[in-house]
Amino acid sequence: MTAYIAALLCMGSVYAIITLGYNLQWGYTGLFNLSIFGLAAAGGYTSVIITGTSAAGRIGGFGLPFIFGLLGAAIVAGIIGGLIGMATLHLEFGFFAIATLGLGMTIQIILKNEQWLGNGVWGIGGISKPFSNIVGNNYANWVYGILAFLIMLLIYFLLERVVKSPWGRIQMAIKEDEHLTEMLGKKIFSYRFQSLVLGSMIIGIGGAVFAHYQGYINPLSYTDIMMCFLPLLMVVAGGSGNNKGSIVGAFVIWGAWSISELVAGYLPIRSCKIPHIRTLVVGIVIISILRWRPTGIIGRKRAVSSSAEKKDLIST
Amino acid sequence: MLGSIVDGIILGSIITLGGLGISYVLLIQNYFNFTGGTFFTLGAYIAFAFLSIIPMGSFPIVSFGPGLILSLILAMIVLAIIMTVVDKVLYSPLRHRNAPFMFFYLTAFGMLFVLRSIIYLIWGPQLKNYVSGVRKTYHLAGGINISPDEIFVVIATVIIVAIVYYFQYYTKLGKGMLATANNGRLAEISGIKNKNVHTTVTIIAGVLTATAGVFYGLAIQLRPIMGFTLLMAMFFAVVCGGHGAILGTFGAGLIIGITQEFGSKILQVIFDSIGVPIEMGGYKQVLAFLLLIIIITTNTQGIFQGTFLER
Repeated sequence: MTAYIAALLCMGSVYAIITLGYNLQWGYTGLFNLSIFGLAAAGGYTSVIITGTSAAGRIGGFGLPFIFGLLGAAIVAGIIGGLIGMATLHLEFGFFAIATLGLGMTIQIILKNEQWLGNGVWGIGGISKPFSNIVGNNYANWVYGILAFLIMLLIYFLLERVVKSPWGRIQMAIKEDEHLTEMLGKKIFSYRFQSLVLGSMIIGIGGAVFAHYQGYINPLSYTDIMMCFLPLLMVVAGGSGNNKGSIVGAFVIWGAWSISELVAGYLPIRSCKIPHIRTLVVGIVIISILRWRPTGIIGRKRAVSSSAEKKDLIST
Repeated sequence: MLGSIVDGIILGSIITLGGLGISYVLLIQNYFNFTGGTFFTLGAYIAFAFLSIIPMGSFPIVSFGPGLILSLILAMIVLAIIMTVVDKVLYSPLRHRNAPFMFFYLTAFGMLFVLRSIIYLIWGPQLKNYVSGVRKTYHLAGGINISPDEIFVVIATVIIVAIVYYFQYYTKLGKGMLATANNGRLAEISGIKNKNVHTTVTIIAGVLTATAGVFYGLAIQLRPIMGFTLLMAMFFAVVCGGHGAILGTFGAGLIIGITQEFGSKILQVIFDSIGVPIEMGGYKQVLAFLLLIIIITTNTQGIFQGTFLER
């Protein structure tokens, strides 16, 4: 039981970090980024290569401390997010969505094919958790869970400051009324770009924290279901544009997701079908929320342009 | 080398049909249908399911029989019904309340995973074929290997594109669709029922998507994520062909098909000669993605403006 709580703490924090990053992009600025799995994979692989031990046939073995891994993950994911943003952010909404989806697929294909980068589909194993050699294997998950939770809290407080600042209010204004904001003399492209890069960096950190928790990663650790679809659901469920909601959503939905694995053991279903049933349920939940409860389960009032227009709940 | 151009034309025909399905939805309803690729897979698997009931029979020359044609028609009908129901239940309310575009994309993205998991649950992850056994293949000069089935796919695609073109530009309903796409409110005033147009578009998209899926299964094989891997190529065909232009989509489909098959071979030769260790076989999707990025950063209206392919 305690092992389960430690695992929940680790994975919940991982998803909370990713969801916070995504919430900045989508909830505040309104960017429908579908390359979360690619960015998280880029972050995870970067961190593992920077901190890991060397192995034949692939790059790596720099052996730097964990914190440098996180920094590297943030930088690489930020650069990738920035590149795709420069290409497609000034276009209409749909082009950005398809381009980011393609970016995610591309990163996954590169990781699958390039042996020198991360050993291809065989992946990289033996990734060490920080402090695990000090506290021993019994408590490694606990210590790591607390560390991940602290990283998540740090990002949360940082983001709270950021979104309460004038910068954050402009982001919200862009989402609520693009033309009004442009008339105020704000450069929409540049604000969107900044939000995209900052969010991508946070998602990269999330991917890195995930990699060190798993101890073994391959391209399939970052599938589009686990790393794009679930964070999407977490943001939708927690109410977009709501950092606390994102964290709660991440923990609650990851809890439900992992418990469903235990429950499914008692059902008369072949075990190979269980992941697909879970995806089906999650998909139906997402579509139902959009169809019948478009403001999210918690929802958010129009924050910036509330006095300019009718005071309805802002839509997801 | 010549053989891979032929392969590219076959793949391009399939991409064209799938792209036309997405293109129609984009033209009238103004969103890129992410689910298009997965509907494509679903159509192919529905035909597979019908084929297990219907006896195959046999045609001369080609390896399949009348059973496949019948299954194809049934799959078209079933997929058109499924897509219409999805449109009525999920997208129609969104259109009614003028929801932001985000909702359409998010719903389409959710549907993608719902359909994919349904496909996995019913048919499993194994590869499947409509016709078992070794296929007849003609070996022509210049290293071209082509089977009668593949020739059938290309000819049928040309015929279908011609039919859709005629429907779009020479019938009243087709012209009404163009009018709705151009200015919905004005079209409504002049007596075109928008609701009917939306239903027609969804049905046509369903028919085209199912055909594309079955053709892919016939020419290559059935895989649960076959549509998802072709999604970038289909989007390229849609964007590069010009939104809703039928001949343009055909042209762009052939371009991307030939690029994926022939271009990857050429690049492989170039990379080998300068000593870059890249195996291009795995990067066909990435080629489609790069072309997509190039086209949407340079010319979002497509490259066929001012030519006869504009329509």
